[in-house]
Amino acid sequence: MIKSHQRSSKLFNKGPSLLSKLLLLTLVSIVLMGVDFRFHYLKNIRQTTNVLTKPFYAVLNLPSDLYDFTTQYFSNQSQLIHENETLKLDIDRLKADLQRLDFVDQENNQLKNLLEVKNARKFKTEAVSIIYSRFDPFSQKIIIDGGQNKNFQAGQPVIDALGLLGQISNVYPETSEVTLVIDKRMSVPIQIQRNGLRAITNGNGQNETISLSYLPNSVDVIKGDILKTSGIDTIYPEGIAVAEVLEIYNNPKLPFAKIICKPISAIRSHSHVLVVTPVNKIVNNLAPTKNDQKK
Amino acid sequence: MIRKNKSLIISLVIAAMMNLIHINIFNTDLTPDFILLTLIFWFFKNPNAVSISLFWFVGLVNDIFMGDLLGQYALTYASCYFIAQYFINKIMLNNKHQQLVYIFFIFLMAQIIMLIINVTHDLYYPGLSYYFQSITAVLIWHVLSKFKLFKLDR
Repeated sequence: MIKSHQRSSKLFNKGPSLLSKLLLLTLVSIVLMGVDFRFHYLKNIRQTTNVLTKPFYAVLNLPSDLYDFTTQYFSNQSQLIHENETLKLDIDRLKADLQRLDFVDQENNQLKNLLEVKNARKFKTEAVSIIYSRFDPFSQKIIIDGGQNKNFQAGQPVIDALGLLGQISNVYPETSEVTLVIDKRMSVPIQIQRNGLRAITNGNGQNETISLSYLPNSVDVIKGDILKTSGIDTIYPEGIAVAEVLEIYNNPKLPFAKIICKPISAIRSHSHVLVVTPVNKIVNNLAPTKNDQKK
Repeated sequence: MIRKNKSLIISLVIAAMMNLIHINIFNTDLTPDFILLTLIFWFFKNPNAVSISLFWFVGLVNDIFMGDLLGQYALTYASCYFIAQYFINKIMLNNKHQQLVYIFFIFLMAQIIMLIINVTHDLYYPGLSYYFQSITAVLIWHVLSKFKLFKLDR
């Protein structure tokens, strides 16, 4: 015998239950994740969708652009004169520094020639603006204005006025994705400025610090040491400031020391960055030579 | 259909744009998922306007633009719909402060699902500060619920 509530449920049957819908959608999601993890087709999808998102960024940046415009328009004359004077002084100081740097660079090249060491590679920089930071607690990435249209390539370093910011990880038609040095997947070969010790940094993710990996407890590192790129990877130019040592934990029970560093570049507080491009393209340097091919 | 759900679509676009603004205090990212916040709000405000498929689809679109892995937000949002459906009577019948506890639980579950997905494919645990985003979401919910526009009373 069929009970009345059973009859009514059949009469008003609206389709599959919520649980079965959830299970189906979960299955589809897992399949999508599995296929994307294996074949990385999300990158290809983003090549086209990134063009569609451009107007959104323009709207999003509208309040800050409007604020910048109004503050610039209404800033008083004396403030402008003062700012101009400061900038002129800065330019004079930087010009003097540049002359000295050119001389030192030339001298360095001559010495390297004498020692028959290969010349240091030359780099140029291009200023681009940051469009937005990606909302994802599991990765630390920013999107910059400029991609294939500016001939950017994945792997190019990105710096600011203070130091290394990260590396371009994906290039889209008009934008590029930069993985910051604090990202967990980011490793940078560095050299400690004080003693020339070479090491590798690893990002720590959300807490915006980086750590030095695989250094023994007896290592000569002190608080306040400056870490600079060593340049041995041929990706990062030599001598770019990366981080400052913040804390050192030596635990004799562990094989390696735990060294926490704070990035020197203003990770979150800048609107423009510099993309570093080697003058003789990276691709040429990474391409196998004739001798290598013979081997 | 689009005309019917005009306010829902506009609110989702605004939420997507708000997701790009980072709330960063003491080097901790406190930005909640505004898209999920909006979806959950619409779920309680007008349950007929949303469905589990819509939650999943919005998650998939979010994955295409923001996600690291296609399907992670879709799965999270669909699961959140299921959890919210389970709590709907408790939330609508209880007082404001008790509501907040359930809302916090929904966001915490969303974070845990995201964490499981990411730990599975990436073996990375972001630390305890990761859960602060659920607290921010509840605080924003509490502040917004004081305005007439965001009141849940039907």
